[in-house]
Amino acid sequence: MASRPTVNVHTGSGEASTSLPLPAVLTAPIRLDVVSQVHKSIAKNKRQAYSVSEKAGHQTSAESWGTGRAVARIPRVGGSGTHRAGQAAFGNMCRGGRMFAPTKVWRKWHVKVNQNQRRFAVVSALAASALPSLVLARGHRIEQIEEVPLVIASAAESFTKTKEAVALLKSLNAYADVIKVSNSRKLRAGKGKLRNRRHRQRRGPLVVYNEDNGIVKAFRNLPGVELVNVRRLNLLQLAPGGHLGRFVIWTEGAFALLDEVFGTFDKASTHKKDYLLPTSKIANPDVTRLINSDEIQSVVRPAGQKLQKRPWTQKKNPLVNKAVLFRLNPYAKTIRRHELLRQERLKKKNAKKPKQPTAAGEAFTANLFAP
Amino acid sequence: MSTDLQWLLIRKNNSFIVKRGADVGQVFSKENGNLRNLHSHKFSGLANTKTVYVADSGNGIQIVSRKQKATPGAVSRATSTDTIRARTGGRRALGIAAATASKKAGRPDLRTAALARVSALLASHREPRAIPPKKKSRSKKAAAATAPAQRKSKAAAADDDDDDLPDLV
Repeated sequence: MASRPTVNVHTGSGEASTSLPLPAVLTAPIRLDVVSQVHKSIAKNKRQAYSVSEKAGHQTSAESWGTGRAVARIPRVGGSGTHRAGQAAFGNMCRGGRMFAPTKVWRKWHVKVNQNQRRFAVVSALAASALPSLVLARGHRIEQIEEVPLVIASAAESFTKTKEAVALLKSLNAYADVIKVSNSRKLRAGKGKLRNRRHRQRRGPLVVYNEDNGIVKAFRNLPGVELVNVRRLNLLQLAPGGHLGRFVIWTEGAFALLDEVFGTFDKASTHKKDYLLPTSKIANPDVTRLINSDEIQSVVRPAGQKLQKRPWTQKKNPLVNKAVLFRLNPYAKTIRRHELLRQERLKKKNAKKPKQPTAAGEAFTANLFAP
Repeated sequence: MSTDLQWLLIRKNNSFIVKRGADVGQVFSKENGNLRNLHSHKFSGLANTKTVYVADSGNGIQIVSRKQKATPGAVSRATSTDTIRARTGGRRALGIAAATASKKAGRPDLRTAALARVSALLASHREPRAIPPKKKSRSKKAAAATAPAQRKSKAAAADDDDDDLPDLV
């Protein structure tokens, strides 16, 4: 890389006024496996404990009738006068019984993830959000925007009206992603409807700001749009569902702060103690470039013919084709000749002799010539 | 970021993949830029620095190609569109498509796929021919077979009144 790539800062009015150097985080290695693994664990940390009641299915004084009553030895509800009397109780196979292995609140609800892994995942997700192909592959409607990462002027941080926010997104051609979210809003299937999760919808852009001078209130009512301070970037927002490539809109201040928050490959972060960005295992992951490099081309054998020619035009079956058979097994000729001669001999030997006429019997001739 | 790595990241799952055809041994992809809508690195419109795409617009066929000198971050600026006007004939349209795919977009390997897409679009634009009149058979047998059948049916229609009564007597 000859010079550090730059990213334009887009103002609402259209023209790109200034540009910023690309922060080092956005060129960090992208590890899909790390992100999905960390996301899977982190996503568990919001869970609340649940279980069935401790007493469920045990609120009777049932006792087994023992043997000799011609019924199963399961505990049975005592007494008479109701239908419940004499019914089996307690067991997980019983009507009105407790469930099998009743769930308990003392379960391992939260998962600890090492800090370095969490940071690696966030850094990976950030790097993925800077590649148009991955943002598109996640399903964000960014075909019309000018570039990724999308940086807007810091003036947006002091927006206070949603109207301004909408106008800005429209001028950046990023509003299509909000519309996508708005169209995707559906009633949730199942009980979640009753539990304050009535609708489900896609995720829109994530707006990252440096200082909140009203930007949060300006943007937060747009469907799917989320806002986060650059110092508190979160994997659950950067890679929802563990899928890389969230569409991130940076304010200029936030974008400029990235090198401080995450550090670079050789300068530690000022916000995270002794943190250096992870480096790639190989500098150049471009397979074609590697294969065609001088280092590899100088040691490999020269390429041979692309298609290995067969020594014959078509394979012949030696069981059918005699010429091929004799080439493979010269003795076959002798065997064959002997076989032919043998058959000739047999034929001669077994040939039917023509019928010789025999004289008629004496009785027959006497009868024939009877006077 | 190399396209090989990008392909590995989007290969397993992305929003465009269509795995319904997996049972017939084919996984499809519906992103713009995928000429054959196949889920493969070669045809992918996402994991390639050079792409070419053929799409239909209201007024003619559009050939969208990614500019070869575009920066990796550019999105809308990176593509350039050539429109083949609707009145352009097939030969010229195919010539433009072939040249765009192999020269401008720098993807000679996608030339045939681009041509196939253009021809398919051209064929779909063509107005269907008016149905030609059916050839009359000149054989006497066929004529004889149809003529008395008509007469018979007429006769049957005339006798219909009797048939309504039940055959009790």
